[in-house]
Parts: sequence; structure tokens; C-alpha cells
Amino acid sequence: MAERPEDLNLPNAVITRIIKEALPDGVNVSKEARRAISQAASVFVLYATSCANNFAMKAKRKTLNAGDVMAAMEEMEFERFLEPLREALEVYKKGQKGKKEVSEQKRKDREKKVDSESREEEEEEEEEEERMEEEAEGEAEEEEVEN
Amino acid sequence: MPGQKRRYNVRFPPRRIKKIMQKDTEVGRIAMAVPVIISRALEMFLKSLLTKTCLITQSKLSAVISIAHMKQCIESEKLFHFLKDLAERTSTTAAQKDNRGMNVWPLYRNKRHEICAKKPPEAAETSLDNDSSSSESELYICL
Repeated sequence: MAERPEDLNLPNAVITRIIKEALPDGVNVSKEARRAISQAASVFVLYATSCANNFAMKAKRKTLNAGDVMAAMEEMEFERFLEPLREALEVYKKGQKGKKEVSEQKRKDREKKVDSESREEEEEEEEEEERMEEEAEGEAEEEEVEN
Repeated sequence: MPGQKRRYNVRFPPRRIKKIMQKDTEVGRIAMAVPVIISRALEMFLKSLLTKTCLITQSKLSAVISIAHMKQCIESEKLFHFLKDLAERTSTTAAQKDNRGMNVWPLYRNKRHEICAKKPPEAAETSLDNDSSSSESELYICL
């Protein structure tokens, strides 16, 4: 499996946006520092992952879940993240529930039209759904991949 | 107080986060909610790092955050000590190629080994030059 360095860094656009939001007007970041920030982000993910996975393994679970991440944050002494993270989790769960209802409804509508031009509509709707999902939630819909 | 703006851009792609997470070979499956929370945690972490570094930058009467400021911040805040190795490896020379980001991986469990925590710069050079044998060169050098 070819591992390209670009694959393992987080998108610069998002990093740039976060930098802009965090810093006061007039303060900038050197090119090297920008890269270091991106690397720090990756290290953070790995460190949090490792911590969270310890909790999952302790509980004899093979799937890392949100609770493990919360426990990891506490362990890493980022307790003040816990409340906003719980909120983010709630928002996510609600979004998932809403999406499920919407897609179930769409499925029902599709069944009615199955005799006519359903094929094209299905594809269009799926594309639209995906686009909307990416915009609104940045959600990963794919199945979990075993390591 | 600024309201909740639509911050689509500050969300990290879940797929990319998952890829990074799965560099850790002990990680199995990942619940779908996880990359979403990690993304939010990342955002908060980076803002915290930037804000604290910025204080140092300003104390030095500069308008540009540099590596040196970041190093100082990492050193002074216990919260950021997990970044110490990264800070040590980071220099302001030509070593700042994107590939150097790979130096970070051996610090955590990866496919190759769990023993070596640091790679000397030469090792990094070797492993990056030939992808296919990179795993072997790392093993030889570190063990």
C-alpha cells in the first residue's frame, strides 16, 4: 500500500482557516511554522488515538467509540474540551437521526416510482445527498475498514 | 459575542482523520462519530496552541509566529509536552520538506516496530528515498 506523505497530513485549507480564526488581526504565521502546525495536528490525532484505543482495549472492545475519545481527552488533560465535544457529539447524533429519516422517506418515494424513470433520479438524489452531507457534516458514510 | 457561524471550513475530513488514526496498528474499527469529535478536538487544540504561541510572539514584539516561538510554547506548557519530540525534530533549515512529517510516525505504534521512538535524520533520508525498502531500513537503523 503506497503511503504518500500528502495523504497523511490534514488539508491546508482547514488549517489556514483555523489559524485565521485563532489569531488577532495583523499576526501571521511563517511558512515553516505553518507546516509545524499541520504536523502538530497529526501528532495530536495519533496521541489521542493511542490514548482512546487503550480505553477501548481495556473494555475488550474492538471498536473505538466516542466515549473512548472523551476518556482520552481527560487523560491528556484537555478536560475543558469535554463539554464542547459532548455538544458536538449530540449535534452529530441528531444529524444522523435526521438523515436516516430523510433517506428512509426518499426510499419510500422511490419505491413508488420504481416503474418509471427511477434510475436517474436515484443517482441524482444520491449525489445530492452526498454533496449535502459533505458540506454540512463532512460525514464519512463508508463502512468501517478493519485494519 | 460572535454567534455560531457556519464553520464548514474548520471541519477536518473524516476520511483523512481515519487514515491517520489507522496508522496505529493496534487500532481496529472506528465508530463513525469518532472522526467527527476528533475534528472538533483538533480545532480546539490548534486554537489553544496558536493562542498561547501568539502570546510569546507578541512578547517578542513580532508580528509573525515562528518555529522558535512554537518551540518555546511547547516547552513551557505541560499540556503540549507530547509535542516535544516533534519540536526537537523540527528545524528551520531545508529539512522543512513535507516529507519530514513522516518522522513523526515512529513515535507511535506503527506497522514496523514499537521499539524505536526516534529516527536520526539520516534514517529519515534513507527511508524516504526508496519507499519499498523503507520499512527495512528503519528496522536496521533502530534496532
